[in-house]
Amino acid sequence: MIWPQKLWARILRQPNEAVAPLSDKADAVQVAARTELERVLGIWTRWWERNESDGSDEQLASSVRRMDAALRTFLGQQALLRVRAASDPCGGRGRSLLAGDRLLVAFLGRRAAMAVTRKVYSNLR
Amino acid sequence: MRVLKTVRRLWTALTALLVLGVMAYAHFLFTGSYAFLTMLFEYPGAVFFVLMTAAEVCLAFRARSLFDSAEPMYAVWTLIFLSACCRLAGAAFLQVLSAQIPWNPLVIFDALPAEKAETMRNIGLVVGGPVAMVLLAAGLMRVIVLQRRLGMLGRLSILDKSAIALICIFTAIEVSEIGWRLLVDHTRPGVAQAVLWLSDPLLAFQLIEAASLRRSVLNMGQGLVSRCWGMMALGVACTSAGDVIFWANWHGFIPTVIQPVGWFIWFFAVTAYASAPSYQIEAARVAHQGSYTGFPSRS
Repeated sequence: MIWPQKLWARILRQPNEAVAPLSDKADAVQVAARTELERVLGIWTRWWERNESDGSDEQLASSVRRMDAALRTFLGQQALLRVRAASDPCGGRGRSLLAGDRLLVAFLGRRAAMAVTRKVYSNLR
Repeated sequence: MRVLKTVRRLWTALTALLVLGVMAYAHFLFTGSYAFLTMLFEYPGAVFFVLMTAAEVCLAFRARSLFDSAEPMYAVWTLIFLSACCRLAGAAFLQVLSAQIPWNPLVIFDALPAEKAETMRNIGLVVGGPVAMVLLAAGLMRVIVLQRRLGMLGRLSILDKSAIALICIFTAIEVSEIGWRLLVDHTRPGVAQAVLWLSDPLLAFQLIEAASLRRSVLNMGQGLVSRCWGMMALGVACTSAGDVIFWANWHGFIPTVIQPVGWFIWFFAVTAYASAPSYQIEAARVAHQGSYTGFPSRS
């Protein structure tokens, strides 16, 4: 057996220690993402259950501002105006957030859109 | 918004080539000799073309890897990536392997007879032309459908419609010329020639797509994703303009003195195509910035 074959056999036999921390890291990211998603969904559900006109909601306003900034960066000012125009008459800032999310998922992909969404909703309690 | 580093590098390389081009053109104007211009297109021009298309292949592949396989944009970037691969193969065959230039490996090993060179040239023209165009047109069509579904596609303006009408008239003239050759002159075209005749209708279709994309970019604004598709539309527009200039040269409609100027438009097209995926990659990088998920690695 020549030395590259021996080396390859050793690599195959050895438990890959380099991969283990990465796998743990990936798991941690998945768990963190799931927790984050559950937290945001919980807040959304609470908003949905109560009347939207229940006083001013600074947190939602802040999220909308962040979503506006994201839409301006990724798509442009005109796209932002179109989203606002399409959402506002139907009432509620939540709709403009959802419309923005939909555009980001379509044009940036789920992974990048999730990263943006996490930043947008990072202030929610 | 600042210009991206990758895009700035690509356009700086183009500017450097254009500076050489201006010098070669000035030499042509003063002496009437094509020597410097020929040298420019055979050496730095060919290298630029191949390297820029290779950069487009790499960048399109990275842009494709940003999406999951179930997402619509994954299919779009797969088609654009395949189109770029075809253009790279076409450029390699056309600019290097079929050319009688000292740095062609086939010339170095004395393995390039005339008929073989002609075959490879035809392969390069077909693969880098109609085949790449079909793939790109399919990719752009999917983007337009997606933009329409999301309400980002606007109505075409008078200017857009005029450009489309002009290219359709040009295509009709080309088709009538082909018909004349087939029916009156009884020319029997080869397979490569017959496939190449599809280029003009495909370009007309692509220009319609480019006009729609330009309109959607105007509807969205100056975001990173909008710029990506704006660059793609610019690439298609430059390719169409290059084709019209080639046809006008062939029929002697352009004075000899300004003919070489039109040859440079192909460099703009290839640079624009390479710039488009850079904006998509930058958008994903910015999206992941500050998030606990990292930007996808190059692997």
